Amino acid sequence: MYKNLALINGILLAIMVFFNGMLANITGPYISTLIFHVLGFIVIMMISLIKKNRLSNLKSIPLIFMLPGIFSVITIFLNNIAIPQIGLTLAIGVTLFGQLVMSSLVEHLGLFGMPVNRFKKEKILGFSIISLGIIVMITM
Amino acid sequence: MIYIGLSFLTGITIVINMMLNGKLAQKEGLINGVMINYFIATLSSIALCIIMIRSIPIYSAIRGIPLLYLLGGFMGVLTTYMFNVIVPNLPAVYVVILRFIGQMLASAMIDYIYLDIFSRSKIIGGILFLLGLIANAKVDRRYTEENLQSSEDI
Repeated sequence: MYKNLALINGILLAIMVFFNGMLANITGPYISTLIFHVLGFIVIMMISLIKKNRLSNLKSIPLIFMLPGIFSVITIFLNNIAIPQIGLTLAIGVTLFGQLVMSSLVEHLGLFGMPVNRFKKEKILGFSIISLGIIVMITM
Repeated sequence: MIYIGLSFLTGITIVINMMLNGKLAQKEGLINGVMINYFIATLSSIALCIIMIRSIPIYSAIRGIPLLYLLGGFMGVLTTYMFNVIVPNLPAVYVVILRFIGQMLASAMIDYIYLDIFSRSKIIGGILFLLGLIANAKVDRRYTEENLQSSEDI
């Protein structure tokens, strides 16, 4: 069941990125980024109200946790300018490649307090195939 | 080429976000975590719009937005919520690989249907990418099995 959910999650993500890209086509990347986050904020506030969630005190939260909100804007904004230019498949493919590189780096160096998990030499083969896949996508 | 660089950068920001959001959710709970995220994001996008006010289209263009495209905002919360439900219940390897398959399949179809782009090279590239992910997953699994083995020896 969770396997299906994971697949559906991926499909929904692609559709979401597509809708945002189309929105950006009409309104430009700035307003579409704003619309995306305002709507998201309204949805999560409604969920919070329904679930009678107790709000946390913003002042007690370390500043570093404000970063995800800012990065979220950067993520959606960059998507919105890249997709109309290079298409959805390539944009998502390269984004996934970026995620892979960054998460390997996080594990290898133990960033963000994650347990250190050194890069294994056996993975060079897998990474070469993945890189080849990206090169084929970009150049051919 | 610059847009490919930007997409790569998007991937990096997504990972940093996942790390920090995971920690924030542990501290403040899932709903508050997502809410703080969207609150700050709303403030920052307002700031972005104010800075870029010159390149913002006129109001009438904004009024003509098809409602369908607004679904993106709802789906953002939905996918985050789903992701947080899936992660504790499915080995990470499956999460990565299945989400990858879902994203690539859906985006190839959307590109084909709406943007009229169909390229065999992107399908081939996607399949190679998937094979590489599976090869890496096998390496990881061998290591975990060896670790289990050695802990049993002790």
